[in-house]
Amino acid sequence: MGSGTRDFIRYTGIYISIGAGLFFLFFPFLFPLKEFYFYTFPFPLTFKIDKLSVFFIIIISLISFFVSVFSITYGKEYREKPHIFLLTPAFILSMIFVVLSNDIITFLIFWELMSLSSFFLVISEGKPESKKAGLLYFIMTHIGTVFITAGFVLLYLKSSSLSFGGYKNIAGILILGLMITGFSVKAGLFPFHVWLPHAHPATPSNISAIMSAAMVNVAVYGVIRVLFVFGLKIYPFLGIILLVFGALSAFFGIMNALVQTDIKRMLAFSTIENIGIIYMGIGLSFWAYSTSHAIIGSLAFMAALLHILNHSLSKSSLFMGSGVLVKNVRSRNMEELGGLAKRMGFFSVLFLIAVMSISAIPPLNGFLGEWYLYVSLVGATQTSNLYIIYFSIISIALLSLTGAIAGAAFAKLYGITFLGKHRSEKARNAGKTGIIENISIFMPVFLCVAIGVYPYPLISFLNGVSLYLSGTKGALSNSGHFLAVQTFRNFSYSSYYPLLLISGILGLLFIGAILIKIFSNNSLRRYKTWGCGIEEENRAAQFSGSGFSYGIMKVFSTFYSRASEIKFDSEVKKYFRKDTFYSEEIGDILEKRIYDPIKRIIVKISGYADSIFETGSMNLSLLFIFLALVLCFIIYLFLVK
Amino acid sequence: MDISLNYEKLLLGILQFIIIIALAPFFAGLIHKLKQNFRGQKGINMFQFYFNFGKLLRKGVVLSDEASYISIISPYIILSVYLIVLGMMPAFYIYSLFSRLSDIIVIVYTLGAGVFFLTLYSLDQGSPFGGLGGEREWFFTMLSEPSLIFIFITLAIYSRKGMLVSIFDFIQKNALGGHFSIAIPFILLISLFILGLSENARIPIDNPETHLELTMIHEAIILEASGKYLGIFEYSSYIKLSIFLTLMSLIIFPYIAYTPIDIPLALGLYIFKMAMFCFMISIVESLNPKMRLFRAPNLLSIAFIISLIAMILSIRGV
Repeated sequence: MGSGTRDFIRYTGIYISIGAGLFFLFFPFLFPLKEFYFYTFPFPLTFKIDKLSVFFIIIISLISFFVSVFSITYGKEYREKPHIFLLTPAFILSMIFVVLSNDIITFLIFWELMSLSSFFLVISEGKPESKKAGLLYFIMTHIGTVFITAGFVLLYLKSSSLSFGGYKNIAGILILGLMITGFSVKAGLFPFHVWLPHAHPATPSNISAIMSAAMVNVAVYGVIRVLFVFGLKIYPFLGIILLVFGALSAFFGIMNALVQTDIKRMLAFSTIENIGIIYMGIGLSFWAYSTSHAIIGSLAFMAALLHILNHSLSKSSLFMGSGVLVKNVRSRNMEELGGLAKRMGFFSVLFLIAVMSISAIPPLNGFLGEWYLYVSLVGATQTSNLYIIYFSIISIALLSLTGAIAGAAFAKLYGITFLGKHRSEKARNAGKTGIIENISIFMPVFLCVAIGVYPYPLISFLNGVSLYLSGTKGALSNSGHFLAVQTFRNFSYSSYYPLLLISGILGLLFIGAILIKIFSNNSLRRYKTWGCGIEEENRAAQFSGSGFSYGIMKVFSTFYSRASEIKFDSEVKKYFRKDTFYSEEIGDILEKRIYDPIKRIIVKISGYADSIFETGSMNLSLLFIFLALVLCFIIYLFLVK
Repeated sequence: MDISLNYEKLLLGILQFIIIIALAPFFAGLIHKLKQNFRGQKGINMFQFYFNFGKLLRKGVVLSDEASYISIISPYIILSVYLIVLGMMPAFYIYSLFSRLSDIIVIVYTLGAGVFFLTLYSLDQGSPFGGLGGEREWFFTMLSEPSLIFIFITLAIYSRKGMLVSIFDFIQKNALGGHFSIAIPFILLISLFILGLSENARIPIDNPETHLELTMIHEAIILEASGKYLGIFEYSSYIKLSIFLTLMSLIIFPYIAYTPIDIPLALGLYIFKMAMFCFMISIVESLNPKMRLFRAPNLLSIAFIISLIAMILSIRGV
């Protein structure tokens, strides 16, 4: 294949993705709330647009559009691998069709297509670590698919209908448990998150933006669909379990994100955190609907929906930003970056806004979802249910801790990456960002600011989604002179005025700046940073990324599995060593303590099974297949029927 | 509580805002003066910090070679963020200027935004000290933010209101009526006092008077600041101190004016209460040595446990 052909394939793929993103962005408005049937050979493929799928289609197609525009120039990095850009539209379309599908077969076909195309995208860099990450992703995804399929089979047996239309409010606890477990594996919730931090760093940045900001949402869509449409709302404890796992996931994710120095790995852990926050909203909402606390339910549901959108916008821009850094500096390691704010002016401002948005700094959109979650959690402590009071107090504690650590983690990300002196020669020679890259990051960042400052149209739209799913009204009212994001009139707890907040802060900023400008000496002189009077230029003397999280890591040392090593020439006396190497490895404690032992056990059992069953005789193999079929039949007869 | 504004309320709100901004350096100076008197020193003028601020404004700025736009904008952002939180406080007049914004979660997260920019500033000059201070600042913020949220949520659960203004309105009215258990504000006060010490760089946690890299936290962050930027940072820290002292004075003994006639008495009581808390802080600062860094989490976890207890006590079901 010549380079001309490869470029042609790449650009074709990118333009198809852009077209698909744009088309499906407007698709729900062209065909509002319609059903589609495509009669293909074995089964008809059926699709339906309802308010829930509209929300997710808009998110997926928006993110795909942004990232595809970004790929126009970023794609040149993968000039030798044009198949990435052919797989991307397939990946995007399969995500959209999963959300649209209206029966089991269609859902599972596109779910599997989505998993497979993303698997090929994960391994597309072809390095050993991306192959390893791909294998882990493949295994985890298919464990999830097994659970989802089992849930669907049980749904089919219960309703004898393949279409989602027949599943309204019939799923019992077994089905809900199976399917939510399956979707949680894909979403990367706390105990099942291990694949995420491996898959994201190994994947091209544009693909990890889509995976983290869109694909994870498809799994969340599954959870919402199963819980709120299929599920019987009579299991309050299921809601509490989701709330607790969400809180644990948020805490665990951000604790690990804090100590990472690889930008993309850090962002992957932050995805786990945000999925946890979304699950908290979903779980609390399900609990509230199950115990007929409709107000808390709709507030928490609003928190979950808002956080889904906000996380997608800010995370996609951050992953695209990490792509820009990889492209221009050739490093994902924070310790090798630094000083980029002076070289990439506009881009660094965009990145700062995205970072502020994801760490929930008030006037921006990230705060909005968390505010709703806090309000609904405080509402839950005022009910008469003892269990939810306990668990919402624990959740408030974990959520506030998460919020504070998120601030630290993202201040570290921005501060170490963009501020200070350049930490390596690579960072000193960093290239400039292209205009298309800037535009494609600007779009989601602009939406972050717009939603944060003026969320009212979005909230009334989300009210519609909430109304569709639960039949209760959402949480908005415009009262008085200022626009407020308010809780209900009959639950007049609190209100938040984002427009007033931002105008207050900006007004004080301008008044303060003008007053200080008038009354102060405006002379400005540039000089070296104070270095204890030492003249020597030493960029390694500034604070490092791993140093920035050291204090917190020491206090919470039980949460980390950390190994550090210092290498030096022992022959030379202490103060005269020329080279000292410090290396540090911080692993995921769950992976080390739980997943690795399980892996070893499975490998051992498989070894035994191999030695027993691997006889080389065809008859014996046929016998085993027959026995397996009989076993399945017995399970069907005695357990399912 | 009705928080709709008219011109009178707005005007008085602005007046209150300007008065508490203007008083902020006085309380910081008072603490310093009292501390020096405890040590047997002659001590500074109580109004010394106003002179310091004026002098810093008159000085030129020396900016680091490595400084980016963050160094230029963050002093102003930090100042306005703390100002807006101070503007939410119903210090002596109930209709504070930003009373509409005084949602408890908004307050905590807005204070968090201040810390965020402060730490970005600390990393901006590539100084080894700045990052050190930034790291420690987050270390303490992370440990104290859950307690701060718990304090506010305890008040919210107890009064069933989410706005700070309505909370203190409730406490004042029901404290007079005798319906309010006085135990909870007392318990919260202990926790808030510890947080006030840690958030405002006070002695058991941090010592603002030294410039030794082993001990400094807040001073390390602003080590590279000079001229008017240093002045803004100093003033922001006085405002933050004022925020915490005002909260303490409101929790323990709210006397808030509803009409213009009550304002002189309320203002007098406000200054008296604030002076009493300054006295308490100066005692604590004089009698205690600075803690080792990794001892401080113990103190902050005590604050957390106390606010958790208060929260459990305040829950009363439907």
